[in-house]
Amino acid sequence: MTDALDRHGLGRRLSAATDASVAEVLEARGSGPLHRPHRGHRLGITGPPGVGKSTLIGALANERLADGRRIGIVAVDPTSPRSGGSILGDRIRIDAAADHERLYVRSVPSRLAGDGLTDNLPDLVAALEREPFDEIWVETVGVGQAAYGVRRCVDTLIVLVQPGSGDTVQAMKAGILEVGDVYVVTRADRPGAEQTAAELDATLALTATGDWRPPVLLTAAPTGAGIAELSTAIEAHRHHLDESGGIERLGPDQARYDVERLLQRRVRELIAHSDPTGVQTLDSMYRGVVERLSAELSATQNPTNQNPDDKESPS
Amino acid sequence: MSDTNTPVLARKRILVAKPGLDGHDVGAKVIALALRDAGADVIYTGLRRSPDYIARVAVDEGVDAVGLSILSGSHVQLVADTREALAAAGAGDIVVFVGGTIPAEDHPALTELGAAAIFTSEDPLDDVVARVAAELGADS
Repeated sequence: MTDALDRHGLGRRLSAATDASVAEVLEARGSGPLHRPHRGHRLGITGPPGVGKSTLIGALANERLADGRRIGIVAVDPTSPRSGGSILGDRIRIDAAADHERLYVRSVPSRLAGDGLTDNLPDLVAALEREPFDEIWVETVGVGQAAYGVRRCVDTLIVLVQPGSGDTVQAMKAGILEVGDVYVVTRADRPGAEQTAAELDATLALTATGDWRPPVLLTAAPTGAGIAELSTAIEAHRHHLDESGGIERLGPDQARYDVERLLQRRVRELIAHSDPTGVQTLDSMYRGVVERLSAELSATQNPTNQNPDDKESPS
Repeated sequence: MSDTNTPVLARKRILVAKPGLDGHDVGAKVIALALRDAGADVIYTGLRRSPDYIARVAVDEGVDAVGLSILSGSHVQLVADTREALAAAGAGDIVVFVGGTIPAEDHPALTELGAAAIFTSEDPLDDVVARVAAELGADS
């Protein structure tokens, strides 16, 4: 890479950030503002396991690297709940299509994050954004409510859908119709792909709100079909964000996500470290929380009990 | 760490790689799973990777160790090339393990080249995990 990406230093910094506790995260961040406008373009890729996220990312990276871009990717794979370890295999498929020195792939385990991302994703993304990348991509685990978490971390979200993966009611239940900026039906060569795309498109035509109408595309990564169109759609969405002030709109929610996650993790750390044998401490912690909640609730329901001078009646 | 439930390889990142031309990775996958079950985050490269590629992935992924699985017989050359590629990338400190069909008479040469440990199919998985943990300075 021409203006010297320090791969070794970045590799070490990302490893440290992946494992950092909440205290370490805050220490490393220093006293800067919580939310800084970010350079480059953040792209999320989500969809159910086996839909072809890594394969599509490889093909798409190949397409966009050809334009001279530098791309940094964070690929999340699941942590084993039993051992806390993980097998991180996304890069096999990504590299098969796009083994390139302007591409940087970092595999990370989901750790305790239940939203398809990883514990310190905002810090991993920030570390990558301090390097000369034009785009940062995030690939989710792709289970549960993965689409909601990543929605709040990226500028453009690509949602992948299997052909013949049930009717659009399934997609409605999973909530994916609310979050995507671009929809891709993968394995376009399989039966049912065009029908899935048509149904999705018809539903989005009726449900999409706001000033961006998400397109529905068909891709077949092995042949490269639809990849150039996907790349064009990403550019179109990026221009839309630039024109409409969308990045500024997304910023506060990205910051809010960051704060929520840090607080949730801090609570988990406190519980995990309360007492190795547990029961006594957890029990008193639980009682304390319940008592405080009850007190707050009764105060809300009957404010005169708390403050006899307050004449306003509860609504 | 006082927590006795912490797995021995917790927070360790290990690259399991297949250099060279042999096309069998059952052994590599078994090792990858054993390391994961000991708490490690294991990155697997897939088959037939060049030493340069392996070194680049090891650096990009910020790993603590690389495990090379070699069944092709060209282990001496591949270990030498991988160590050289790691050093060239400024990552000579990454620990290298070797596993596969490695005749005993080649062990000294591999140790000389900087292999931290050499494993064969004779070694019980628990021993492999314990040795890796010891080499990485993990609590056990």
